[in-house]
Amino acid sequence: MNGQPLAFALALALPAGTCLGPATAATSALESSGPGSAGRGAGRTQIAVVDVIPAGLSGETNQDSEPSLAVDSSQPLRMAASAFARGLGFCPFDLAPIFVSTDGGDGWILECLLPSDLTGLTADATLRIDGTTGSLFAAILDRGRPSSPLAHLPPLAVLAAESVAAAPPMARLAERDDIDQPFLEISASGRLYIGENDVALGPPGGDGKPATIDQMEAPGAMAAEGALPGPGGFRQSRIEARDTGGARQDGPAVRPAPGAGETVYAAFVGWRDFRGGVAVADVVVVRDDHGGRGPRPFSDLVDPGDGLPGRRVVEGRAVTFGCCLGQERLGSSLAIAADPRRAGTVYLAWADRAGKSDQVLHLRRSEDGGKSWSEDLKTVADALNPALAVAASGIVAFLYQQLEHAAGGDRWVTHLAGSGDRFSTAVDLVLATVPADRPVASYLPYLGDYVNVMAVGTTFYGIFSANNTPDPANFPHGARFLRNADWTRKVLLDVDRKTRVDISIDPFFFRVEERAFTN
Amino acid sequence: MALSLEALPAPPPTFVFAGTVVATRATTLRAVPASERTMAVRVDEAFAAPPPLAHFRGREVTVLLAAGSKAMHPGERAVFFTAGWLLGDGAAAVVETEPSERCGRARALERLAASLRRWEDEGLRRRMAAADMVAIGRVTAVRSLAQAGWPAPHGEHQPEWREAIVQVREALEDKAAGRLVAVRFPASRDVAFLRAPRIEVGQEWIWMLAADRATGAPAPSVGGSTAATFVVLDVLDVQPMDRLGRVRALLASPRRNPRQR
Repeated sequence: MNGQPLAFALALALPAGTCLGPATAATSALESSGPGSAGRGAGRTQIAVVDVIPAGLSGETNQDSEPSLAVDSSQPLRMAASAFARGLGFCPFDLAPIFVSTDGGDGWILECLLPSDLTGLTADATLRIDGTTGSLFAAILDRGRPSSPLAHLPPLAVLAAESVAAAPPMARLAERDDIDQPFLEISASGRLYIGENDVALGPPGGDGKPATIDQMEAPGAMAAEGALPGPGGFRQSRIEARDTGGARQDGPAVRPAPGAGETVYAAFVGWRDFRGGVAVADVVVVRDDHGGRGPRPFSDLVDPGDGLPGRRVVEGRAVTFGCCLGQERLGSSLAIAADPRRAGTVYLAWADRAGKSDQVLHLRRSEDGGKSWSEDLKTVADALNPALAVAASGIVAFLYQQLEHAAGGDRWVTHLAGSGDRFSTAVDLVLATVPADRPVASYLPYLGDYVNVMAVGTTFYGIFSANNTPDPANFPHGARFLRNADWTRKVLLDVDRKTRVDISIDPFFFRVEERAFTN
Repeated sequence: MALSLEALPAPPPTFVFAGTVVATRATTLRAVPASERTMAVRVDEAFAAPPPLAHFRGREVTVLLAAGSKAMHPGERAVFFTAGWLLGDGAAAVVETEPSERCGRARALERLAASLRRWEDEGLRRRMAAADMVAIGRVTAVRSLAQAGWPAPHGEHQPEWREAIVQVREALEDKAAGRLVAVRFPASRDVAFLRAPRIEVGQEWIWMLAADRATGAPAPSVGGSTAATFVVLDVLDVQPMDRLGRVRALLASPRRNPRQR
């Protein structure tokens, strides 16, 4: 690959006169669906899992990790998903694909939309849809722009499109250098919040307090007026109030969570020291009761111990950073979700070392705006990628991926645990259980530094990445594959329905009715 | 490395085909609203196609004309120069990247090759313009900066810098022939560094070297003197020797200001 641009490969793609036969009939839903799944027209089931790779991309073998999902809360049939996915040369050289559905997630098409470079991939990306306008927003590390000399990272770009299927390019709302892991959320009023690690504030020259929330005024209104919000496009709020000691930085994950009314929470892992691949850290929650618009954003929750903004939910925990759990790296396991009805109710999940495990997920709840927290409602050993959502009914969904050690080999098991009684009890759904050693990782992250789950009405929607072997045993509630798959031989097939395709990592959308947790 | 932000030329087409307009103001994908710019076009012959479109001969695709393009009519035949936009189950929409033309296969492939070359040359030219030194050299040693005593901050996108000592054989720009230089490059498996070159002892390349403003690590002492330090971040920064003629030609052509950002 060194010195050999990808471009020339395309000119050689199709020899003269090649004709690969007439177009085949559209794939029958049952042929590409695993047993037990919901095919088109079969009626809406409580649980649906769908591999979003479309049939036209059946030959793809990329490691499609780090998925993100956006659902239009006003028209939940419309949604968009991203991952580190390539388009097999379909997209122009400067765009990477997303996946779009207009039927509630049963069918997906690929759309070339996000800025990219000759890799054809995006870097870190999260998507959200404004339920008021239907506009699609993305916070990405833009590979199509030069990396900064300091952090050698592509710059953060905040992008907007009129809808999920708008023609490229996306409008560029704002851009900033030296940002890691931007994580986008949008409030019911259309305000964007981006949690991020501002690397410029870390070593060598920063003050070592990089946890930041960037926010923008309602972009729909801004777009209508033709004005960009503020210098640099953002209002930046630095949310680490404490010294990070020998670590001189925070963990990369910063997660915002809009709640009821104008309440916004955010969580981050504040490092206090770092030795031998392990951070000594506090898990901190901040809160703003006015949408972040006040003179001192995210200062409304004060820790009683030191009087500083940000409640330390736990202190001095050992957090493994780096390699590995299975083939996946560690250090970004953090999630927070607020109850959309009660401003004071919020759920938090994070990972630290406990007992014999380097990576134990903890789930806790506060009902007084973060001032006090429950003990662990749930702990899961050897797990990562937590995500949380609270429906209007109060039912809570907790998504995570656990490395289970089985006799036949380790497996990545994707769980969706749901509770209607504040996790006094819970229903645990296994969405996927797949081999952990195949495929071999070609880069990190292997599955992703995060997954997504969100509640719209009485439905939980989410996305995770996993091994895509079409084996019914891997999907206890069934799975629908749009790409060509032979469920009897358990192999993937190319567009010609004959050539075998290697197993890889695919993004899997899911849709779970909340009654699945209460029946 | 201060690469110019000026827009690259439009990327080359990825799907070049001879087609017949079936209907105007029409689409073949439900997700695409029909407009004066959309047409349903039958693919009569694909001259260059990515794998997802390799089977589309005889099928219709939606073509989104570029803004300002001349309108076409049902029954009209042309060679279309397009790139992908939407790909569904047996259906696709593509966007016009260059004007269509009534031409044969040879002319179509000639235009495509010219587009590809233009695109690649511009990318290469920009990296050369941003480089502080362009030289031919061979790698004599490689080491990890961390293991050499220069620890890096912790982060998922840390490059995990390695350092190659390069014996410069010929400086194409800069008077550096015969000296040893230190070239830092990312060795991280993180997805952000997918395009980082993989450098090993014994390799000889044409190097586009930017002065090291990224690592903060001190310059090594090599052969009794302090080596100048550089970084390479992208595969385009290390060109194979068989491209020497092209590199020389690009160096001889006018450049953009490399310091713009």
